Order: sequence, then C-alpha cells, then structure tokens
Amino acid sequence: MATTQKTENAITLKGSAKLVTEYLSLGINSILFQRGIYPPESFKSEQHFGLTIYVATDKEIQDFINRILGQIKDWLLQEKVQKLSLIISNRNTKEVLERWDFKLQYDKSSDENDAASVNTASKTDSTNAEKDKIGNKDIKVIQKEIRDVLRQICSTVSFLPLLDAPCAFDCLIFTNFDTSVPENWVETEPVFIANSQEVQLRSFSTSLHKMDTVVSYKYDE
Amino acid sequence: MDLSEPEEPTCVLKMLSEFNRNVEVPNFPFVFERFGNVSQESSNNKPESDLSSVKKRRVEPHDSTLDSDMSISENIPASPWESNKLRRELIEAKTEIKNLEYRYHELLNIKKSSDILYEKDREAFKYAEEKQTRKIRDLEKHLKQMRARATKLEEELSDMKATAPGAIAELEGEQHALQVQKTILNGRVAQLEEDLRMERTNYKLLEEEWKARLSSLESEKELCDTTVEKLRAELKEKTVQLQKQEMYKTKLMVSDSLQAAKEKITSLTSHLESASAKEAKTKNLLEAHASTIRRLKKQNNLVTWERNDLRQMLDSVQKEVTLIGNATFSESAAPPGSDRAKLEVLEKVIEGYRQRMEHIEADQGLVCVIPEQNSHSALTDETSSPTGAYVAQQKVQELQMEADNNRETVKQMAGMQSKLLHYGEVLKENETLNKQVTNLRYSRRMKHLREKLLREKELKEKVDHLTYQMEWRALKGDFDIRETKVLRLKLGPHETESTSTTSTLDQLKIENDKLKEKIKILKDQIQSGADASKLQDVTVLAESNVNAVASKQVEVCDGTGGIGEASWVQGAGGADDAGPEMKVWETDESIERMIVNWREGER
Repeated sequence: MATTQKTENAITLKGSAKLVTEYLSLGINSILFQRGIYPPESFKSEQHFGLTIYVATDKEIQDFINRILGQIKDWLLQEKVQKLSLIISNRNTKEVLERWDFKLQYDKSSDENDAASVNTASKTDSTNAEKDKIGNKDIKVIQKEIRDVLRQICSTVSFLPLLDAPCAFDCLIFTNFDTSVPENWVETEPVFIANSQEVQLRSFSTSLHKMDTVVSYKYDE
Repeated sequence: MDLSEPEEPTCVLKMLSEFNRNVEVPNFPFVFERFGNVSQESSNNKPESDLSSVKKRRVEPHDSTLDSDMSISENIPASPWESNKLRRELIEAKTEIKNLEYRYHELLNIKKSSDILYEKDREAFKYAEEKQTRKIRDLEKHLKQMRARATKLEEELSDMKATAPGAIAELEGEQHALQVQKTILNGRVAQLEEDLRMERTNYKLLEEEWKARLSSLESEKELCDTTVEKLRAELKEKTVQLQKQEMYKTKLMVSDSLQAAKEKITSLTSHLESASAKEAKTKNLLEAHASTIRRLKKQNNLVTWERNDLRQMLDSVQKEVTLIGNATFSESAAPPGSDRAKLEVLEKVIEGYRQRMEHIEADQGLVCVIPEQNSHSALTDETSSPTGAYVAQQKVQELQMEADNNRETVKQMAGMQSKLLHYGEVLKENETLNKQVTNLRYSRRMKHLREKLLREKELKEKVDHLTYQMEWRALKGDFDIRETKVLRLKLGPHETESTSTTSTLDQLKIENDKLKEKIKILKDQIQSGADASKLQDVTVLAESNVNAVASKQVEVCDGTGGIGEASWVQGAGGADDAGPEMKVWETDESIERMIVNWREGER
C-alpha cells in the first residue's frame, strides 16, 4: 500500500521566543549603530536573515543587551512582556530624544482552542499545553518579514533628526502587573517625549507572537 | 643719597628694612610719645611733595651729627628741631612704606593672575594637543578600518564579478517569473476591480432600492397616518350615528312592544270579559246541571231498583225455564202442549218487560241531557261542563302568563338584537382598531428600527473614534498603569555613565569650593596684611574649612533625612534665623506623646 506523508510548517513557542529575541537584539544593535550612539569603530558587521547588521563589540554593551534579552525570553514564554522601549537620551541634559517601542502581542486563538482541554485537564497539563503551543507559519516567511522590518529600521535614518549631542541609551520593559521583579531589576517610571512625532514601522508575526515597531522622536519645527 | 646712609638709624631705608625684619626700632621716647598725633597732624597738614623736599634738605645736615654710634645719640638729648625733623621723616617713611607695600601687593597680584593665565593656557594647549592626538589616532583607526573594508569590498566585488553572470541569469529568470506573476496578478486585479465595480453598482442599486423603499414606506406611513386620522374621525361620526340609531331603534321597539302589549291587553280584557260572562252562564248552567243531576240520580236509583227487580224476575224466570227444561228432557214423554204454553207465557212476560223498558226509555221526563264531546264550540262545552269556569280561569291565567312571557321574550329579543348589533359594531370597531394597531405597530417598529439604526451608527462612530484614540495613545506610548509594570535593569551603560558624570561633577564641585575658599582666605589675609609665610598654609586652611562645611551639611542631612526616625521643630525665631542649635529634635516617643495629647483633647 502506498503511504502519503504530509509535511506541515510548525514553530514552537520556544522557537518563536528565540526569533523575537534575535530580532530585538539585531534591532537594538542596528539602532545603536545607525543613530550613532557609539562610534562606528565599536561595531562589527555580521550576517543575519540575509542582511549585514552592525553589532556592538563593546563587552559591556553586549552583556547589558544579552541580560535584558535573556530575561525577556523567559517572560515571553510566560506571556508577561507587553513592550520593550529603547530610550535614547542626551547624555548631558538627560533629555529624551528618541523612543523605540517594540510592542508584543500574543496569539489568542490557540488559547481559545486550548480552553476546553484546559478546563478538563489538570493545571500541570494546561501549563504543558501552553508550553507545547505550535504555530503553523513558514520560517522563511517569518525571516522575510523580520528582514523587511530590519531594513526599515536602517532606512529610518533618512527622516529621523540628527543626534548632534552625545547620547546614551536605556531599555525599559513593560510587563504584566503580576510579574515579580527579578534581582538587579527595578521598577521605574515610563518615558514620554514632549512634542513627539511617531512613525510605525512594519510588523512581523511568528503566528504565536506579533511584533510592532514604532519610533517616536522629538519633533522640532 | 650716599651708601653709608642706610647704616644710620634714622635712615629711611634702614628703618624700612628693620621694620620688615621686625627688629625693634631704637628707642625714641620723644617720638613715640606723640606719635599718633604727630602722624595725624603731619599727614593732614602737609602735602607729600613738600615733606620729601624738607626731608632731603634736613637730612643732610643731620647726617653729620648721626655719624657716631647709637649710644652716643641715645646719650645726647635731641633738640626739638631734630625731634620734629625725625618725626616728619618717620611719617614720610611710613607713608612711603605703605605705598611701596601697596605696589608690592599689586605686583604680586598681577604676577599671580599672569601665573594663573599661563597655567590655564598651558592646560588648554595640553588638552587641545591631547584631543588632536586622540583625533589623529581615531582617524588612523578609521582609516585602517576603511582600508580593510575597501579590501573586503574589493574582494566582494571580484567575487561578485565572478558570480555575476550566473546571478544575472538567475535574476533574469526570476524577473521573467515575476513578470508572468505580475501579468497574472494584473489580470486578477482587473477581475477584482470589475467585481468591485459590480459590487459597487449592486450596492448603489441596493442603496437606491432601500432609499426608494424607505421613501415609499414613509409615504405609506404618511398615508396611514392620514387614513388613521380620517378613520378616527369617521369612527367618531359613526359611533355617534350608531348611538342615535340605537336609541331610535330601541325607542321604536319599545313603542311596538308597548302597542302589541296594549293590543294584547285589550284582547285579553275582552277575553276576560267574555270569559266572565261565560262564567256567569256556566254558573247558571252548573246550577241547572246540578238539579238535573239530582233528578237523574233519583231516576237512576229508580231505574236501578226496577232493573234489579226485573233482573230478579228474569233470574226467577230463567230458573223456572231451566227447571221446566230439565223436567221435559227427563220426562220426554210429557206433552209438548203444556211446555209450549209455559214458554209462551214466559215469552209474553219477557216481551212485556221489553215493552216496559222501552216505555221507560221512551219516557221524556226521565231524559237526562248528557254533555257531548264533539260540541260546536269549546266554550259552550266548557261552560256546559261543571269544571269549565275553572278551566277558563286557568286558561286566562295561562294566557296572562303567556302574555307576560311574550313580553319578556320580546324584551329579551330586543336586548339580544341590540346586543347583536352592538356586537357587530364592536367587531367592526375591533377590526378597525386591529388595523390601526397593526399600522401603529408597524410605524413604531419602523421608528424603533430607525432609532436603532441611528444608535448603531452613533455607536459605530464612537467605537471608531475610541479605537482611533486608543491607537493614537498607544502610539504616543500610553499604557494601562493598573495592568503594567515598568522595569529596567540596574547598572546599565546609561547608569554607569551617569554615575561617573555625577562623581566627576561632585569632585569638580568640591574642587571649586576649595578654590573659592582659598580665594576667600587669600583676600582676608591680604586685607589683614598677613605675612608671606602664612600664605603657604592657605591650601590647608581651605581644605579644613571645606571639610568642616561638608561635615556640617552631612549632619543636617542625617537629621532631616529620616522622616520616620525623627523630626525637628523650628524655634520661635522662624526658619531664617533658626540655626541648627535652635532645632528641637523630637523622637518617635515625643510624636506619640503628642498624638495621645491630641486624642485626649478631642475627647
């Protein structure tokens, strides 16, 4: 008897979280390079998603970004992160000049589908079910979408105002209210830009996570 | 002036040098007695130029006298002229000393400022040099990187050149495929556009239809409203007419029934009269009948007595006959003539009896009139009978009852008729009302639907507006504070930079304070005219002063910092004049005591 094998595109929750954190890392690095927060000598070019991305070589910066992204990855699996804001401020006056918002949305359809099974099964089973969430989007399509967003981030230099003063950056993470604050993390105030202009970039979805990227900058007429 | 002059005790230069060296001046009792007054007078009375000229002139003769030792001069009492002269000279010398000191200080200041300027310039130049060297280094690095990049790019270019034809061919293939796709997509787009157009036209048609329907419905509604109003008016009129008609009908029926009842009453009264007449007649007849009955009874009694008598006779005869017969049969031999004679006698008796019966029957006096059943009139029969009057009365009563019943039935019938009419009207009214109700319901429903549509439109607009606002706010970075926590990682590059800058700022501030303090001390020393040896301790003094101020500030901060630990109450003098000594420190116990007192006061 002839057997037919069906091939399906599948992405796990862990895989999706990894893709999202990878995108965030590349996005933050390319913003730091494109916006001239650090001199170009402190960056090296790397190939990611078929694009040449400049990544910071400074160990301190890399450690900082990696620590943030590691924590975000854990929170992504628990669906606790809402947004990551990259704040660019004037080093001398502390004035906020730019804010890059990476907004996250979680796929709710899979939750609804699992609702019936969650009701019947025990709690441990439900948590396992949440961990075993599977998306059905082609990885190539996701990579293409991420590539498009990264390209857009690079192209924002054309319209964003020139940062002529020495600048510093910081990352704020917007989590759910029930999230416990880990060690070396502190609660802080949100950052707003007075007289700001916003530009929404393309968004990508892994079918489990949807990422929107928005840049807000100080609008001087 | 000669070189030997400074050796003289009165020589100004010598005096100056001694003064600077803090050597005691030779004792001039006459001089120091009135030193203050003299100096004042001299300074006030004579100008400096004159004094100098006088000094020049008078020192020369005096030089000869002062050539000898100090001991000699001490022993020799000074003349008033000399003493005056010396005083003047001393004053002049002092003024000159002051002038020179002033000039010396000025020069010193100029030197210092020039030194500072020189230092600053040197530092600036050094900084610029460092900057330039750093820049050069950076540029060199950059140049190296650029060169490396250029080499890389060249390599890439060469690679590209090598792989270019294949890639171009691939790209051309892709382009061709894309063109095909594009044509397909264009066709699809055209189809979709056509569909869209069709849908738009359909939508427009539907919209027009809907509008037409709406307008027709509106016109229908208006018509319905007008017809409803008309019907209402008609209904009112008809109800009035019907009420009138009912009234008229009831009136007519009542009059008819009244007339019928009257007629009936008249007929019944006539009947009653005739019946009463008949009753009288029947009474008479009854009396007659009673007399005849009595006679008939008597006759009956007579007849029955005769009949009984005759029967007895007949029985006796029959007995005789039977006895005779038996005897004859037994005696068959007896003669027939005797029997025949006997029979003949008996037959004659019977015959005579018959005749007698016929006679009695034929007797008119004993005739009794028996009431006939088939009489020509019931009334004559009734009256002729003894129960006729009663029957007639009964009949009259029955007739009256019937008349009453008839009246009641007539009334009932009239009521029923009116009810039927009313029912018919009610049915008609009900139908009209039903129609009105359906119309009203329809109109209400239409109104309700329109309101609903309007509400839905408003709600849709509101929802759109709110979603737009939410999106706008989300874009601006707004979020729900109740559901979100904002977290950041400690000791990031931003924070370390800020801490380093704050530390450098603090250091600079401290240095600035020290320098300020130094300047202040120097100014004070210059004003007070202190020694040059003391100037060296300025830095130490300034540092100690700054440290003292800093420690004081720290103490004050420690005291006011902890709100829960302690608080201070200012004295009566107010905030400005109340120093740290005036602050009354109160612990938590004292606050508690205050709260207890306040509570007691409230009670």
